[in-house]
Formats: sequence, C-alpha cells, structure tokens
Amino acid sequence: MRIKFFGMLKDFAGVESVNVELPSPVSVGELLDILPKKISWFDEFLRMVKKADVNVIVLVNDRVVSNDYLVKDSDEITLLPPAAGG
Amino acid sequence: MVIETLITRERVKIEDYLSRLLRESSMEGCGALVMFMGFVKGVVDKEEVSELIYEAYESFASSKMREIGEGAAKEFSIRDVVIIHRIGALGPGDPTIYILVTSVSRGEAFRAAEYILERVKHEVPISKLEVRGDGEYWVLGDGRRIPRGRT
Repeated sequence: MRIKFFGMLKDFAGVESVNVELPSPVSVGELLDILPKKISWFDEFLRMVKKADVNVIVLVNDRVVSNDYLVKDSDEITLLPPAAGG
Repeated sequence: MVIETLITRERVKIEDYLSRLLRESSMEGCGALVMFMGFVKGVVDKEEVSELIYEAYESFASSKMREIGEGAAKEFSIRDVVIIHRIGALGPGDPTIYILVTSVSRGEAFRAAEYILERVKHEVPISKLEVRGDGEYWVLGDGRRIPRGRT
C-alpha cells in the first residue's frame, strides 16, 4: 500500500510517500493506529500532527470514504492537512 | 449558465471572464455581478512577506471546486459561477483566488460568493506556505501559522 503525504504533513513525514505491506484489510478508522507498527517514524509523525493541533484527512484512491471502509494493500492512501485555500 | 472552475499557475486575464459573463448574463436578465478577489498580504504580524507558495492536491481539489460551484448554483438564484485559484509562488499583491457570481439581483450574488469562498477555504485541499522575514510558516484555514519543518 502506498501512503502519500501532502502540504505540512509532507514536512512532518520528511518524505513524499512511503510503501507499507498490509497483509489484511483494516478500516480507515484503524489505519493511523496501525501505521506506527509498520513505519518506524510514524509515532514521531503523529506527535508532530498532535502538536500542530491539525486534523488529518484520509483519502483512499482520491476519494473520501467512511471510517469503516476497509483499506486493502492495493489501495493508495493520501493524508491531507486541513484545507487552507483562498 | 456557466459553472467554471480552474486551478492554474498562470496569471489570469480576469477582464476576459468579466466581459464574457456581463455580455451573456445581461441577455438573460441579470444585472448583478459580484467578484471576490483574494491577494497576497505583504505584511503579517509586522513581518514582511516575500512569497506565499500555494500547492494543490489537484485531482481532488478540482473535483471539490466543481462540487462547490454546482452546490452554489443549486442553493442560490444565480446564473453563473466562476472559481479560479492560483497555485505556485505568489508575491505580495498577487491575486490568489477569484470568485465571480452573476444573478438578477445583488443579494443572491453576494450571499453565493460568500458561501463559495467559505467552502473553498475549508474544503479544497490547498496548502499555503508563507515565506517571511522571520521564517516559513504553513498557514491554516483558521489563520493559524505553524512553523515549517519537523518540530
């Protein structure tokens, strides 16, 4: 599964994207809890997100899905910070 | 009716949009055009701003802007909606966003323009990085500024 980061989250991650293996599907709601077990620096990433006090928006294959949507290894995930246009 | 949205790195010839909307909408009884234009601040928190760098997650941002334009057309009695957002490195005074709305009368056009602006600011995945004298800051939709880098 490929995970892409956008905007300030790319800064926090230090990379534009990362690949992780996902042996079995997990819900979008569980994804951010599971990723620290898969990616060594993800705890640190989440610490910076918490410190900045921003919500992370999760897209699956460029679509907004519900929290119980099951993510598969073949899906592409994008993590977005809150919108800041205008 | 025109519903047009655009995310662009290029300068926008807004006069072309204005003349087209005025010409076409007037023939359908419209007499009001409201335009909102946002532009880059040159000073923030007493610090000089050199650049505001916009980045869009374009595939999703484009569809979201279209959805907002269509939403406004359903919600308000208006004829035309044009939403244009610039991305890339912009300098003080450079336009960043244009919202144009035409209608028969001004009230609906003003309300629709505000509705569109608020939705764009809060729903379209666009990031902005403010480069200024005391460092670089990610600017959030609520005006908060987060220093750039891994903190």
